[in-house]
Amino acid sequence: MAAPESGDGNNGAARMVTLISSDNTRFEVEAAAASLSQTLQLTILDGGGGGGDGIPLPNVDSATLSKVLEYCIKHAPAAANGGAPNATAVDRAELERFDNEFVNIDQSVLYSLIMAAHNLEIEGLQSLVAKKVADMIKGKSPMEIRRTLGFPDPTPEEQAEMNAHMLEYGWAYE
Amino acid sequence: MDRGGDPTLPPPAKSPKLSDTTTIAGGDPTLLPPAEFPKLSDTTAIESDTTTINSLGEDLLLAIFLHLHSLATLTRAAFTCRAWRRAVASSPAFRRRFRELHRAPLLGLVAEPHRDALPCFAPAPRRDRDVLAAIRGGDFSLTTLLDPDDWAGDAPLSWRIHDCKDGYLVLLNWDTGLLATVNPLTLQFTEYIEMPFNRNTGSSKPGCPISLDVHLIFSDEEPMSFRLVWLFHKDSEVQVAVFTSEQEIGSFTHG
Repeated sequence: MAAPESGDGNNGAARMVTLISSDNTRFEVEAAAASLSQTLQLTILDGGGGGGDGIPLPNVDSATLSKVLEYCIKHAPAAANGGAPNATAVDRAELERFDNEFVNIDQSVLYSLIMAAHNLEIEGLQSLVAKKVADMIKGKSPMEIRRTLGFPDPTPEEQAEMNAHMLEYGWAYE
Repeated sequence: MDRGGDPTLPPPAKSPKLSDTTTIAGGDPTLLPPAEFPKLSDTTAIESDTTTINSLGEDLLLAIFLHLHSLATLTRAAFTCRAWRRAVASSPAFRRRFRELHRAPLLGLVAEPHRDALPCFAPAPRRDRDVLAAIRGGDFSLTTLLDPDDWAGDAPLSWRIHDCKDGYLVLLNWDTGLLATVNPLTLQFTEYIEMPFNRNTGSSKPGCPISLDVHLIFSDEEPMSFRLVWLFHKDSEVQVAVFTSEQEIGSFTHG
């Protein structure tokens, strides 16, 4: 715990794996970080990703992958500690600060991220982004949600439906 | 799930048009659409490279909705567009999970301070916007029972609270032999039921029916419809009358 950068715990250099994005960019990361992905963890446990091979990720482009890995590298030490039962409050606060800043990004990046997290089965990341998007929705009327998320203006028909709903479910509206 | 475009490009100022994909559901706007509509991802595959919230599949959209903090928020979100409404409508598993994560908040307490007045409502002392909106949007004074044009329009105000369950109040009015089920949030669903026995024979005479109990039975999935089961005792038999929220469906005896 005191040496969070020591990777998988082996003496000497941590084991590295190579991930290849859909646009053929190669990323070399510690196996411990990549293993936050349940999908990758299986491949890595099977001995994949080492040497010159690399694990192809045809569904994740390089911009998204680099962001995903930023998250994994930051969260790997805590994950290696089994959810960090002995992490200090300072460590936890630092991770929280990182998370808050991490999702402070363009919406399109958020959606690419959540799809990648879903694909790679990185539960913490999926949940972090989902919560961020939910925060953008809460406290808003349907019309405000549409504007926030960049939907086109509703058709007259849709508008009528929204009005009817507001009348019927008045309790859900301010 | 990459859709083959280049998501590294900056997003255009406006998201692509959804209008062609969001005019599918017709009919009564207050009804949830049937579940057999195509999946969100099929109907919103749009001519653009930008990743929008509608690029996500229904499973991810619902994963986001699970993080909404109240039913009111989910209700507003679901009516943002038809594809979202469809996503919520077509997944009972999601709605079950959402209910598990978001227990219904206490809105307040009902009391009966006077014998011949309607029950009184005291709001819960919470400063929650959604709870407040619900209280303000509902008829917790139960004025529906005063409506002169309604079935109980001329009934004396001797309504007694019998039960309170899943947002419904069960009120009994022995002076008129009526039972009322009232949901203060959806007044159009106030129902009146005539007591399923002759209550004028006087409760002290032998052989007259004695009401034992009334139960409301709900399904989580259809909170707007319920069954009411009335147990009563007559001539050494226990009788059961079952009402749906629309009408009595059957009455049978049990020796």
